[in-house]
Amino acid sequence: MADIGPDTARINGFASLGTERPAGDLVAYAMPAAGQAAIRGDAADATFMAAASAALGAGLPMESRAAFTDGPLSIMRLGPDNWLAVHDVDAEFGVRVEQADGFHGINLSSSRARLRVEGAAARDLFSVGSRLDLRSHTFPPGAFAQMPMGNATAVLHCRDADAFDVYIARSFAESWLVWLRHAGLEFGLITA
Amino acid sequence: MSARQPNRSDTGGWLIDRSRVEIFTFDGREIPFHPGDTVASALLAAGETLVGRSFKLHRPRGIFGLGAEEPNALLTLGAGATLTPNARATMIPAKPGMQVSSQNRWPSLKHDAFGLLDKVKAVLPAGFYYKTFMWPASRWMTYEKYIRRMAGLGPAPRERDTEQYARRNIHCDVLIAGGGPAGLAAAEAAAAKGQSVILAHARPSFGGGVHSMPQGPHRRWFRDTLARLEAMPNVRLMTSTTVAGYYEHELLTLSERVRDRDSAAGTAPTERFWEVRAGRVIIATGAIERPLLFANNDRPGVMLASAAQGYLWRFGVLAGQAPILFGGDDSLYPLARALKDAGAIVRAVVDLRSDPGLVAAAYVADGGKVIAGAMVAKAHGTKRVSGAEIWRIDEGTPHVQETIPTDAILISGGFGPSLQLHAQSKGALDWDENLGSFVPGTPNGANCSIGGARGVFDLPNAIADGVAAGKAEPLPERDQADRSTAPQPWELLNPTGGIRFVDLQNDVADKDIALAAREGWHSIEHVKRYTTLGMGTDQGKIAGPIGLALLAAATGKEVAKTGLTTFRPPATPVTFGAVAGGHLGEVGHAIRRSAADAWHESQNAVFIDAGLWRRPQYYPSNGATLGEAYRAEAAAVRAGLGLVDVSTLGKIDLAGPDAAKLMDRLYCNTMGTLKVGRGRYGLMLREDGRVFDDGVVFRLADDRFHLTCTTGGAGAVYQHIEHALQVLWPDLKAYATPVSEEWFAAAIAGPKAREYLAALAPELDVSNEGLPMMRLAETMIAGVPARVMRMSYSGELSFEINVPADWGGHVWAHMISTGNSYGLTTYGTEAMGALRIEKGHVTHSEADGRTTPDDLGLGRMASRKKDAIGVRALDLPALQESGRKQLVGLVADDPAAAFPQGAQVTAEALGDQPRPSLGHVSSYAYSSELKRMVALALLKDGRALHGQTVHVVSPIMGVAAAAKVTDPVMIDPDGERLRG
Repeated sequence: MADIGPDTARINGFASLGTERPAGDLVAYAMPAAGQAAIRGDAADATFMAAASAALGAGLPMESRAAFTDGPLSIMRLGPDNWLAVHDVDAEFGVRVEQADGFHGINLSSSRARLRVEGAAARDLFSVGSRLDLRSHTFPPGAFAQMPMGNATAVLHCRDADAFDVYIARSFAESWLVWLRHAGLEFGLITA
Repeated sequence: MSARQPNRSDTGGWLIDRSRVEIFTFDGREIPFHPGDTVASALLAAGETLVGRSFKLHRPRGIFGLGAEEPNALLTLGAGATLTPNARATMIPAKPGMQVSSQNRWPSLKHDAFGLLDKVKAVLPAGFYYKTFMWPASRWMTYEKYIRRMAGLGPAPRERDTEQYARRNIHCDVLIAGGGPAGLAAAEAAAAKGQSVILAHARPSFGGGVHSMPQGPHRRWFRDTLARLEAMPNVRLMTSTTVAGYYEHELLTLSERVRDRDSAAGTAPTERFWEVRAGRVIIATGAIERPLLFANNDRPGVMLASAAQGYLWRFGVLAGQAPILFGGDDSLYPLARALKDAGAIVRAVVDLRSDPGLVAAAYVADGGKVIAGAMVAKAHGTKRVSGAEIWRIDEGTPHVQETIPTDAILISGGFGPSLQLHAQSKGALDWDENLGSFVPGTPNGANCSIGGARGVFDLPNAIADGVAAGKAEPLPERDQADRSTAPQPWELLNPTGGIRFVDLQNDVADKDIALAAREGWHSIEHVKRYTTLGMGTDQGKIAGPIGLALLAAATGKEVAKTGLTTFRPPATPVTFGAVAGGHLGEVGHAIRRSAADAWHESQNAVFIDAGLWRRPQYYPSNGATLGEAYRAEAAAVRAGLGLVDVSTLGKIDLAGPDAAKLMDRLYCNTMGTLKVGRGRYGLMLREDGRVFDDGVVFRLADDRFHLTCTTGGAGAVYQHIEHALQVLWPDLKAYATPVSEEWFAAAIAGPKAREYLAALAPELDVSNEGLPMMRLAETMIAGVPARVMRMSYSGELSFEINVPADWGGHVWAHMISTGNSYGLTTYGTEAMGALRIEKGHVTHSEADGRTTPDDLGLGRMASRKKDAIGVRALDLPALQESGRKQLVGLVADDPAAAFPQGAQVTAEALGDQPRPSLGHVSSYAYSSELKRMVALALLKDGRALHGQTVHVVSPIMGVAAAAKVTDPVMIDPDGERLRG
């Protein structure tokens, strides 16, 4: 049995959004994460931490506001015993983590749709629907947070000064795009 | 001055561009104005003194103030979809072509039919509605209709608002409310320390009181300061922005007017509503002048002196050609001189002080007329002031001195700080005897009030306040002004006995407050509600302090002890559009869509809300109605093969060494014994023993379970489990992870389900032995790894297929195309409901928060061999005794009978007399199998009624149908089909 379905048949949650970066000062485009997984366990349990680290090829970060990123892999500690690991290119990642021994990994590769927002006005755009302090000194590159944004819950990950990954629960994704496009009107947001 | 702008003077006009003249309309008449004018200043310039009718008595009213405190000049802007009622003319910038209308008058402002009310005002005192229209009580509804028509503000718009509204959240180190001299100084000082600053100012341009003064060095200071602020990157300057609300922890709301409603839309919103989270707040909202009481003090032409001063210097507008100034301090004299210099004939300065002092003497020396020790006791004129009746009050009995013809009475009762924001933040309010006003006391939260907002009224000290506050240093000691020798506004006599208004907007007179006190209303909160004092859109900014003092006098209490009414946001009115406009439709309310949603839509499915999800209710092929469609869909499932999207069901992954232990505590039935790969129907109870949620559980591994729960219960069940893990048993090592989003789920059901599944999953052993009931298997469907779970909700041979949601659309399409050769029918929630009702399966219609497992016929599921949430409560006597409602089935006697919606069940048919209810129908549907209506019902001791005939009735609809009480499982009681 194959671990995942055919790549060509896969439709991410932002089905109506293109994956090519459009031209513009403030843009949004889909950037499906190939693999995602939840890692659950007790941070004080060395055996668990070691097992997770072995499976991921990276230690679980203890920091709760800054993501660990190494190339295509990002790990965000969403809760005391809950990490979200994302792989940009490896579609088998979620399955692999789920099947690994010594800790509880749950394949969530279909659970969250991801898009990228880039532009100097991105923080203002998010502030239309998020009450978090997203100023660059409190939310610098590497920072992430899970928060209500607009009509859904978002995981916002700052990748660069003006570049952000946004993760939205799959079933909410199309509706959240409606919010994003509405919020983006006054900023001239261009979506792919 | 021109014929069209008779009151425009060459003096002042700092805020207007005299080189251009534009036009707007007021009640259809053309009003010329200069860019920079407000609607109020343009109307005054054009000689439009009469601008509205009062709320209750329909008395003619004119412009009274300069800013947000304006009680009278409420106008309607625009028409149709852009109509805005109750706009304050003093705050609205005049714009070319704008359409402005007066309110609360019929047929016209000048000839208002309801103006007759004023003639009978003697019988319309405070509370007269309550007293007069109470008998007979049944007539109130009739009276109310007319009262509402007579009393009121502008019309509510009837068309859908087409404007765009936006919201924004922002964080800053310092928020400064008010961009007058104090606020500007504070902004610069704070920004110089490197703090991020927001300076919000209600008007289109900063400066505040600076613009109400003659030319001088302060104007230079203002321009330079503003220029420096504009160059600072850490300062956000916001004009046309009102700080509306101050909430806990320095959360404040701002209402920003971005552009005019009628202007070209572009991409900018009309209004933007801000939530600001500030490190600290500086309140620099200035002061408000208090009026003076005299008879007919509401006539058009009576105006606050500070407003007249503002109109002159800001807009070059004279409040009147021949004004009288009336007050009790020196500030009247510079104004009198300025008005005179600007071309007005100042008739007199009426000074309450018998010995007004040097400033007055100098004014007299320069040829001015001062009447000292006197008061204006009454204004003459109706639609505009025509004269002022002057009484001497300083020698013996008050007596008439003279009546002076005038077109404007400019009054000053001293100033009081604008307390709105300080009071909203729950800061203390101190009574200042010298000012005769409350002033901000100890703040609550990180804020301070400066300048006029704390009783510092002169420019240099206000700026010094700002600098200190900006630097977060202690404020300078406030000068204690000498107690005025003039009487306070509420101490004035009323020698003519005419009506003296305290609250102009709501027509509350001084005698109304006295009456309220006599009738026993001694709390200011009660007096406010009884008299409507301060309940208008101006929130009593002018009336409040006077009314309060009058109440104190009437009740013999000190003003300080009488206290103020509660200040609530918004400080000034905010449109509904600003608050809610950015949240309409899907923008504000997400719709959750399954991975097959696009297919459902392509089939013209009719959707129904299930929580935030939208689910196909039915597929109306060939124009079928709901009833036709679901009967056909349900029949197709029973006869052949059906497919339904069940992605919305809640799914939770529960894993960990203690997962099995936790499962046994969460579910009332035993789960720990479940073997890996097998499933079991489970019931969760609340602490009180009522059924909380239900669903099928599969064990994926020794230490891992896959829970399903109802669509509506998904969120609550997850919270329930987290509560158990975090609060009840933190020692248990188990982790709950919601996986509803991960899995696309579809159920196939019907006699042909097995052969269809074999075609879908050729690698899977679909035989009864290979895949028995409540078994889980993994296989490939359309190249995608899938979980196949054998279970049945419909009562037919049935399988549920789960695939990762990213492949849901792909797998669904494959299932549809494969299904063609099996006569596959897709069905919606309505058919699904009919199928489950026939089988007696419960949903939240039955597990409605009141029913126990036993009520639902599931009492044997509650295992007593272990402890689980809610099980002990089942022993409570109330849950054991007879008379509880129990779940039964109902089958209609007559195949043509309909069960009415919301039906009750009675033992006897509907008659003339009310019949006792046995219980109610919880769900009903047409049974394609039994060819008649069936229902699930909760009836008292229902299980004892099996076989009896009852009546399903709706007395309201006059419908009744006889039905037989049965077991809830109405077809295939032995479950042969689903095990087949």
